[in-house]
Amino acid sequence: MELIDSLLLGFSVALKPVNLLYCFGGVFVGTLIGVLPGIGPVAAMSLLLPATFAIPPESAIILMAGVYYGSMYGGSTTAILVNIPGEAASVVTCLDGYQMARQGRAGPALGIAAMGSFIAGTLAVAGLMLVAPWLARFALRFGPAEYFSLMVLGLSILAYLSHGSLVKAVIMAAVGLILGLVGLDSITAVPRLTFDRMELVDGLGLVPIVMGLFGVAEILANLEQEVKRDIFASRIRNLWPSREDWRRSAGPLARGSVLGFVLGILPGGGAVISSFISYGLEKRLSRTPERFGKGAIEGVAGPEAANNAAAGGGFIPLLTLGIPPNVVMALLLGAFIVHGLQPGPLLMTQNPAIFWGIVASMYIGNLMLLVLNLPLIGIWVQLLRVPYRILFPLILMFCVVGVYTSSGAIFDVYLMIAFGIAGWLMRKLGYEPAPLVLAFVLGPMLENNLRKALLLAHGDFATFVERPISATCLGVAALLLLSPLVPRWRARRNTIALEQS
Amino acid sequence: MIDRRRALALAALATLAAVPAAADTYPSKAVTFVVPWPAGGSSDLTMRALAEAASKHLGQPIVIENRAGASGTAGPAVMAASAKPDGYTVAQMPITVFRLPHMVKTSFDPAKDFTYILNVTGYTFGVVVKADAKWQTFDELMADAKANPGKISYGTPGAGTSLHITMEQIAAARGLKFTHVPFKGGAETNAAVMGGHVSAVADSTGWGALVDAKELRLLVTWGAERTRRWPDVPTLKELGYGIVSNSPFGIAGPKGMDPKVVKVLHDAFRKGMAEPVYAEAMRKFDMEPFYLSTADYDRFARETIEQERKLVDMLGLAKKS
Amino acid sequence: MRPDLAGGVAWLAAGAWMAWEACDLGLGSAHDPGSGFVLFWAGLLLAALALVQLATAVRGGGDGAAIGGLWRGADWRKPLLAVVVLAGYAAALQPLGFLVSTALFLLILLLAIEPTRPPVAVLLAVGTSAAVWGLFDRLLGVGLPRGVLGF
Repeated sequence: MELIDSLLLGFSVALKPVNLLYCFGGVFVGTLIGVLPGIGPVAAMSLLLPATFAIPPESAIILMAGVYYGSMYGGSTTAILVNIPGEAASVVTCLDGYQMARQGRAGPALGIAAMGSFIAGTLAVAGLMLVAPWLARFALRFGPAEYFSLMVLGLSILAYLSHGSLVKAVIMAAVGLILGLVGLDSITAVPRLTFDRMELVDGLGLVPIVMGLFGVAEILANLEQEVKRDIFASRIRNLWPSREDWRRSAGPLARGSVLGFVLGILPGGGAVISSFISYGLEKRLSRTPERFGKGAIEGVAGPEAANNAAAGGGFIPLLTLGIPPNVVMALLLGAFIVHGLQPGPLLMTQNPAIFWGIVASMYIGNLMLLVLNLPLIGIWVQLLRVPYRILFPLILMFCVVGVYTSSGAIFDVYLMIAFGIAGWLMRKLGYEPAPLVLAFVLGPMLENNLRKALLLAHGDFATFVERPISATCLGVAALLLLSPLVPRWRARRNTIALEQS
Repeated sequence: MIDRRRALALAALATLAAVPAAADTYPSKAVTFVVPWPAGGSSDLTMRALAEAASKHLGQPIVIENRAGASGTAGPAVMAASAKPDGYTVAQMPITVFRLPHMVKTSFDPAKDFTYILNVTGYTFGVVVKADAKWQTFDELMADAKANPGKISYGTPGAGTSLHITMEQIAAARGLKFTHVPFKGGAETNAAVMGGHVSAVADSTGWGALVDAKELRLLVTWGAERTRRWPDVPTLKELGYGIVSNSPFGIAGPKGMDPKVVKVLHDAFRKGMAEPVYAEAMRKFDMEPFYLSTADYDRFARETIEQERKLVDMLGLAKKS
Repeated sequence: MRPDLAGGVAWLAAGAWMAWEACDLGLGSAHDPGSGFVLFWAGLLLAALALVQLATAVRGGGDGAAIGGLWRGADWRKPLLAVVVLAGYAAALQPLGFLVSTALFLLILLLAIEPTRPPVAVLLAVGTSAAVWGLFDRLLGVGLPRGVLGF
């Protein structure tokens, strides 16, 4: 009963015309920056923040939150259409989404991404409402040892990310791990592999790497062979996911939502890890894993649901504990404080109108996003009809603009070009970029938490197996890694990862 | 090649329009203010408030550019390496600018590469433990640490931060040993102490809401005086450590700025500090205004560089050369 | 030389170099792992995997074709040209400013690699750069390079 009262209070705030307007403005800007590669929610929100000083706090937060989950919605568009992951969480969407587009199925891919985002977003808000405080407490039990083991689990699914040689996939992961550690050591502040270049002190940027390895490399590969590429311009079939698509996607959507929501609560990279794990999970569960990487709709539905649910889950530690789990939430925390509010355990009791107003606005915002995005799909698909000779210079320009606007450094543009060349050569030699990106993202967290855990345990490695959550993660990882050795599973895994040789 | 091209273009431009004497017409365009933290953090937001307040007195907009990284030294370092000393680029100078060069090889020298303009503020630091922890006071925590060397762990937002340095200073003063665990910023430290992964956390007031909600217990603050928000909590000074740690930060430009330009900037920021919008931002983030004039700040910078060198040496963090 | 053989040698060198470099950074101890700890093991892993790949390649696994074969039927000049133009664009971005350099970049790509009719190319190049500039710089306020001409 209390919950219903609270929700009514929330909707009475969120449905005020002015707040509806701010909510729409937020999700609109969010969609825009989500679709544009490079510029992320952080840049857009920090630009908007000063503009919100004059408006009431709940409107300001509704606007800023709208930008965030709106941008998560749009993030998959360029990944599917032109193989440019706008953010790390869309890297996995490239794998099958872009293949679907090449087969003339960009419409269903975009459709399932939008519907999946809506479903996951809505489920996440429901979860936020029902189990927020409890889950936030649970998330606190993740210390350095637990994080380390979670990262190991994340890495153990990389075999499922490639459909070529397993050795090459692990080589890519090792390279990604090393690249991820460039820059100041997070524990001792010693510069590593920086070659005395100031630009490298902060490490390599993720945006130039993914844009280079995916976007630029794809163009270079397309340019050298004229024959193949007209396939995806000429054959655009149905615009919407078919009944069969839905049947295949239902499970991945549900699992992805839960996975993303739970991992989104954990500080640091929840959205990225959950999208990767969701992909690995779906491939593992699928009866036809060989379709993955060649345009399987499950490979779009699961990860997209996961990263959008993670966006919702991220609000939980912020709203209930005042602990922001990622940069965007830290920005939102700043917005709260600027408006004289302290997110934390007291927010729900001291400012119920604001807390529930935000939650209710997220329901409304998700609905707005769906209405806004579905008609856009038709337009996006038409884009693919543009001849490639005109399309590719534009894509390259957007890559450059995206990289430049995300960091403001020309160095990053050169970095993207270098990774573009590397990615082009790598794909010729049969190395796939996805494991590299996964290890690049997880590597620094893996290292940092390993060292923190050992510091806390005074060098005792047993800490990783003595702690139940940590032991569980390691156990699952071991199972995934060892399953190919068990004869009964061997046949199946071979079809998963070793088709080539 | 870039430079030659730029030089050619500049030469072409110079023949088109005679460039007026820069200092007399300053400021004639927007000033870029480099904030070496990500957008949205407490340092960023207070600096934004200051920029807004000061731009009124400067007569030109002050545009914030966030250039985070390298413990807050990336922004000043890039400024020192690439900006012209024309007064159109200034940066916030966190205390790490004076400290990091002693610990690692940096591209800048804080004694030579900057023109110091004024000091504006300092943070409020404090040590928190979980509300159900057995330590009721800071002295109890210290006594426990003394009895069990290395058993008490504390989290900070990073190695070499003032939090880390000061805690090691305290440990050295009492002849005890903590286990230091560096995290990446306030969100992680709060989660770590709430989850019981570290015994205590030394950090700026990111723990405020959790202390008010009685989830965390604030044992001590590190300012010269007790805070307005938690007047019952003693300071380190009161407890007899003789340490005040508030990581003051000011504003500086690249080396070789015209004193006239420095004065214009100093006056604008000085007046900006008196504006209510800035005072309000300070209060919300539990910071204290801490003004030093151009001459005082320059002296302070030089003293701090020397002091940091000694501290870093004493704590065994100095770079190996 | 077969691609996998060449790749294996390259990765082996990279892994060995990494492990050596990591020793320089300090491996630390289990009690307090140093800056080079994880890098060292990553380097060793890379080197070990490279050996596996080499062994497979020597035994005659893989596709067996020479490196040059990868470019059979492919026109490597187009990607190369695209890379050169792209690097030129990056170099010109700050001195020339976003509008001029982007228009030039698009124009060159549209005309040089797979020719478009010149009037169409000019219209597209100018129109797109202006539209993008309006969207990012004016509407979203992200600040694109201005260049010496002030725009």
